[in-house]
Amino acid sequence: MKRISTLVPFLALIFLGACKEKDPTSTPQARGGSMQLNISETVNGKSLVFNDFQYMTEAGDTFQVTLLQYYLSNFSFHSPETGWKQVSHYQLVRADEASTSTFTIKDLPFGNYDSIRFYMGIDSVTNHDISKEGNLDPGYGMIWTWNSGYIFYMFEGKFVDSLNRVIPFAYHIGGDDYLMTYEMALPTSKTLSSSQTLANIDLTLELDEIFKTPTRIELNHVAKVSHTFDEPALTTQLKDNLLDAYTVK
Amino acid sequence: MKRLVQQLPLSAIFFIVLFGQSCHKKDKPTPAQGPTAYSLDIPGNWQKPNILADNPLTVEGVQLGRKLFYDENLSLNRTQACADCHQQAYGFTDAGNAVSKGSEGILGTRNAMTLANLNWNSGYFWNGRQPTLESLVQEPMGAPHEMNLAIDVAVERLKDDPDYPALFNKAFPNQGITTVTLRYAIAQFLRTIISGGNTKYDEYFNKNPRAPETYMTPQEKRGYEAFIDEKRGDCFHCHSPINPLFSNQNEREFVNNALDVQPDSGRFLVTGISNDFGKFKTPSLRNLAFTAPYMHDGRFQTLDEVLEHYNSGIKYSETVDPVLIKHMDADNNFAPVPRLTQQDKDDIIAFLMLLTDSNLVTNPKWSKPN
Repeated sequence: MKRISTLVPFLALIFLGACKEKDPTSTPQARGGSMQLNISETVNGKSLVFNDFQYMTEAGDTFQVTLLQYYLSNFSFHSPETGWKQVSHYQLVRADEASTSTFTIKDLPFGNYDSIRFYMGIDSVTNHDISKEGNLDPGYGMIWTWNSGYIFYMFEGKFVDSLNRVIPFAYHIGGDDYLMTYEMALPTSKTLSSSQTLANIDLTLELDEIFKTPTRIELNHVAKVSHTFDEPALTTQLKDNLLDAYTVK
Repeated sequence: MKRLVQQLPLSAIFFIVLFGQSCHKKDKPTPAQGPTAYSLDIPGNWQKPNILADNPLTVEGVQLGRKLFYDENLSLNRTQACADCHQQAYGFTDAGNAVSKGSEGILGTRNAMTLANLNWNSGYFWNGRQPTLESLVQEPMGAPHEMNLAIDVAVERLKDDPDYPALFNKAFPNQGITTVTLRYAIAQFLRTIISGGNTKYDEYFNKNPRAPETYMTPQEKRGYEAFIDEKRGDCFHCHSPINPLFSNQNEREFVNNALDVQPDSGRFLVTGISNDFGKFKTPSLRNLAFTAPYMHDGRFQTLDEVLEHYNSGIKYSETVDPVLIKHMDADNNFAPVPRLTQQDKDDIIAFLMLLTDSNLVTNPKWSKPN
């Protein structure tokens, strides 16, 4: 039901289509093939499980994950023959809802693709225009106030401190300065040769990277919520740490 | 379902209707027999509510629901109606009582929640245990500490009544009085209680959604700024200004707001997830002027007390919201770190009063029928 607003325009198209007389001479024009993106998250090399103290940061803090949602957008695919092809797609991944982790980019021109580029976050133009629907609907709560722009990365959990106390934490990263951009070569190139083709790209987000490099984060010493507006220094560290958080297959 | 804000998709629906109809030949549909459709008065920028497909609102159903809502015969000893703990004059809450007393004098443990804008809830009661309005109705009716009347007994009572059988037949042709139609009728009435769109805040917001504060008095403006300031009020994480109700339908729909060292079980009873211990519904901030006292157990009499809780009364527990632990000192046994002046609190309250809609407490269409 959450995606009713994205469904409705499709329904409208179906109805529109239903009105048209069938023209036996026209055949559907194949404009390209489809690329399916499969997003997953790991912690300590294992698939993400919520609400369970089974993970450890590089600094040795035991932690669990209670919430994870983030935007992926601005996908580009590189073909050695034709260069970069950018598509408009905004994906809100809510890690506890499997249906948000798989999506298809349609009508990519036929050819071979050997690299992918994307943002974690929202481009600055869109980030300041919140009159959006679909995955960008402000109603999803990935916005602080009407003026703030989107929250790109919302990660919450709990850790156990040196006194053995359970302490909740929340990292909310957003704002133009914290847009995270990725470019990665595909280990094997993907070929789209017909409209029937569905090539798969698997993107894996390694959550614990946020605590690792270049800045090792010790939760014990944070014990605070990080928000872009509250603690820009920490947010910058978190953002930089996330820049090597993806692997691609 | 979870989103209130919706603009464009509505136009798409019109689109469908227009074009969908243009496909049909001009054969007219058979006029529908039965009750008249009831159309809800929904503020402009609010999402179309989710109405159960098999319980569309009708004039007859709403009217019947209203009669039932005010009928004391729905309690075992015929002394208490729904309306007794949800009084219109108090924004459909229980007249200032922290918790409510049932028809047989037994005190409950929860503060009676407002019945305004229930269309946009996705889980009912303080811990969200009931999924729909239609399903929640029989719970207070049957609970020993509330009306103490099993719903099937209520059905038998209504069947013996001189008026109800005809009213049910009008509202639910061919169904009559059943445990289903009884619940559905009351739910239909509850769905009509909509409050919003014509408060001062809405007036300002409609003029400029990006900067409603432009139109506020200096004090209201200061209050709004403190409300969204992470270092002061920090109210907006849960009571989101993006949400027309100033509640939350996302990750902070249920929150442990640091009331107790040993929190009440809260939403844990619904989900069985230990992280949900002590979590309760983030309530709407509309019409607070009418709905005191506050919190799930009604422990705070005034908004000043509520704000002082968030300022100096927050208590650590393992499930406390991270937004609140930010305002505690982990090096000092999680003592609260006060950050609001009396002026801040007064300003925030002045801002919150912009969300007062007197229509809620005066509109005769929700009052006791003759």
